[in-house]
Amino acid sequence: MFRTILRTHWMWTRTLVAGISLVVFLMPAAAWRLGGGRTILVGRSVADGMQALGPMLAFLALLGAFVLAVYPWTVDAETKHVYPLSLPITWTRYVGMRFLAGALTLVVPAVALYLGGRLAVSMIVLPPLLHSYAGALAVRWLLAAFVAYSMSFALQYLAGRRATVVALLIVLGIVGLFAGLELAGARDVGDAIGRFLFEFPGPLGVFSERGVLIDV
Amino acid sequence: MCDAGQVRLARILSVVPLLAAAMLAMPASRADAQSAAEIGQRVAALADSMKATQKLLNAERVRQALPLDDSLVVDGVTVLFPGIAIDARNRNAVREGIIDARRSLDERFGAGTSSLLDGDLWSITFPNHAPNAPFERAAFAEGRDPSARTRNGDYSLPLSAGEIEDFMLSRAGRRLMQRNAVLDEFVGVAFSFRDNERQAYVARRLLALSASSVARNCAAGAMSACRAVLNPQARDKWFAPSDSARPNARAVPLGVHGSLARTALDVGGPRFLQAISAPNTSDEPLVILATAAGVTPDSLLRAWSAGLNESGATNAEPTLAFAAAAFFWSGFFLLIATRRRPR
Repeated sequence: MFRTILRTHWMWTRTLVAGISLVVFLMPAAAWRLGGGRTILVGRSVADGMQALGPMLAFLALLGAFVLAVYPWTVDAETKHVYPLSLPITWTRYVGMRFLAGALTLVVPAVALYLGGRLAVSMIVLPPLLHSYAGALAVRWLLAAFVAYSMSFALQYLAGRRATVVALLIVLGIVGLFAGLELAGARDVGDAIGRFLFEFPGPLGVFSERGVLIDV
Repeated sequence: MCDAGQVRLARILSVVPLLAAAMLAMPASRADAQSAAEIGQRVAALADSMKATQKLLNAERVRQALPLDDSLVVDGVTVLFPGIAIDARNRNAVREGIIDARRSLDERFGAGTSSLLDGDLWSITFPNHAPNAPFERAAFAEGRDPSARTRNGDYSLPLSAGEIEDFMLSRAGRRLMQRNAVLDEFVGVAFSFRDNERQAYVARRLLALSASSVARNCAAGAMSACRAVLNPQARDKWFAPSDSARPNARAVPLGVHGSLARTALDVGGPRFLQAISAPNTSDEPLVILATAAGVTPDSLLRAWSAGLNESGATNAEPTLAFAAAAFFWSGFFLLIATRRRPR
């Protein structure tokens, strides 16, 4: 049954997955160009470029994972979830399999990022002390995408059709909370919440960690 | 009014040493060698007096431009708040930070090390002049002048004792280096008593990514390359002929020098703190640091190089704990997702 769910999931989202994979594949090469592409000997251009494009990778992990979580639910919702509810398995098990299928498709762009990183590094001559961390970068991206996917997935399966509105309300609520604490002179409370959310081992800590392609 | 009067008086006073110097200098040409030397000493003393008067004038000018509304003196450290008074909470953080820094210096580097902070004077300023306003940040500056070159970053409010402690440990490092003119120029503000686990890693990365192949060779462990790249007098050896470097480019940033000085402190211990004030036996900072640490320059370089290599590449690779946290949160959100079943 899982194989069927995985196959349908792949068929529904393959165009999107291919698009994300293409963008992340080109990202390291773009970083090299963005860094000036001038110092082909030392690889500093890749290091500089990746620093600039790092937030873009995190954004792709967020956006791609969000769409991957939302789309299959929307397809199910169009038929009022008749198919999953008619299956001889519990809802919890079905949701688990649906989740796993989506999570597995995230491996494809992560592999594309790894290959793109290897390709970019192969274009330059690294000095002895510098190493390529294409694999580590891809794993970091995969973990970030995984967390973003699970958050979007939870939001979608809890809030249903109102997921977008709820997501906006959550974002506005967080922004309002921080602004309110700031105006009330309780910045340290806001800082504590921010640290919990964005610092390791917080839920969004994976996005705060710096991913590098070339390092000592 | 009183301030203006003081400034006027200081200006008048500044002329007096000039006149006295002129009067003393005239007979010096007719005096014998011994008395000329004495007069020379007096002229030098008067020149020092002139400098002090000028300093007073400058301080007055800054004070007039930024009225001093508040200040704090803790264990010999003066903190000024030009143009603004800060609340008790921030004041307590400053006080605690200074006391913690003093204790940390004495405990970790030997009793009496905290005397480095005696007489230190720095300012906390608020760019928008409103410490209680939303989204306001604070900046620390050396001395009275908020626009001083040593202005130190932005700090969110309320201030924390930990931030103040870190700043004071950096100040202590700066004041130690100021005892030796060569090292002061070599290290600048890049030396601190603060424990910085990433310093060696950052230094290694800076060396490895340098446009200078000599610096990159240093990162790879070539001692002769390190010696060349760390010698301010060997500018012609900083870059190889094949390197494409901008004119007047530095081979390595000051942070690399700071990590070398920190290694010297770790190697030399309390001895380093005393020896750094001794007259220099060389113009080369590496030799001065090694002498102060009680080792040879090559030993210091080897210790430094070993420290750089130990800094490792663990920063680039995600740790197991990192992955575990990601899986934990994913599982947590999956659990939430299964809580609601459509009807």
